[in-house]
Amino acid sequence: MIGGIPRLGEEVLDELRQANPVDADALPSSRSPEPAARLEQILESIDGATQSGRAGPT
Amino acid sequence: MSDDPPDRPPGADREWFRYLFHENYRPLLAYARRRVEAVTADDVVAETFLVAWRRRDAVPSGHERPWLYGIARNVMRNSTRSARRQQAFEQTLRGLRQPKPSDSEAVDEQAEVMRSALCELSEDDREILMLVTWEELSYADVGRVLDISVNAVAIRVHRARKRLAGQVAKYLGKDPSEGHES
Repeated sequence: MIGGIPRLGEEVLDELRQANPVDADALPSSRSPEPAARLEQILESIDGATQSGRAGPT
Repeated sequence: MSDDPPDRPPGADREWFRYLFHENYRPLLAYARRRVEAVTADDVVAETFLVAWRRRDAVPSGHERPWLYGIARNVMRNSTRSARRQQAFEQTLRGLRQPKPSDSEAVDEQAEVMRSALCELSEDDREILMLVTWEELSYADVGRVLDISVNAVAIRVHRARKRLAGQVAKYLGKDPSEGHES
């Protein structure tokens, strides 16, 4: 920043980049228990939808 | 988006989907957490992957992540009205403003100013700046998320960053012209 004000070029984007409030690497991995369970839930719901789709209207 | 459908062998959809999930879960969760509170972010991610499964033939090979961001964006837009989204975004950012132990006070204060200025922008300006800086996307990928051309992205980023700099100046009570590039 210049005198506390970012310039209009790349600098303002750099300042914003540094203000990122969430570090993705610190979030749970997709293979940790909760996300893995989410994936299985989604796959189950997909299976359920596929099976009921296969059964077709009666 | 006009990319070709992904090249997947027949019957391998589930394996492809697992791969898609593991490759993109974390960045997608980070994307959502930057915009909505944690509990909602989890739901947004789950809904996004469900949509991805339903529309699996439309997922562009090689550009899956921006496509998923675009879906997540729509999920959030459809679930909350604009005024509520603004309020939720501000609350989310406030909730995330926990200084890291390694941060110096000055760095933290600077980040606080930037995030406060970001909250003052329109949703469109904010989104494009966040995609470029926090999601670290190229202009081409930002275009894929927002379904606009690379040129349009460049123009919008230019305008949005000017407005952001103006908000920062306003926030600090300074004349924005002081910070103009020479």
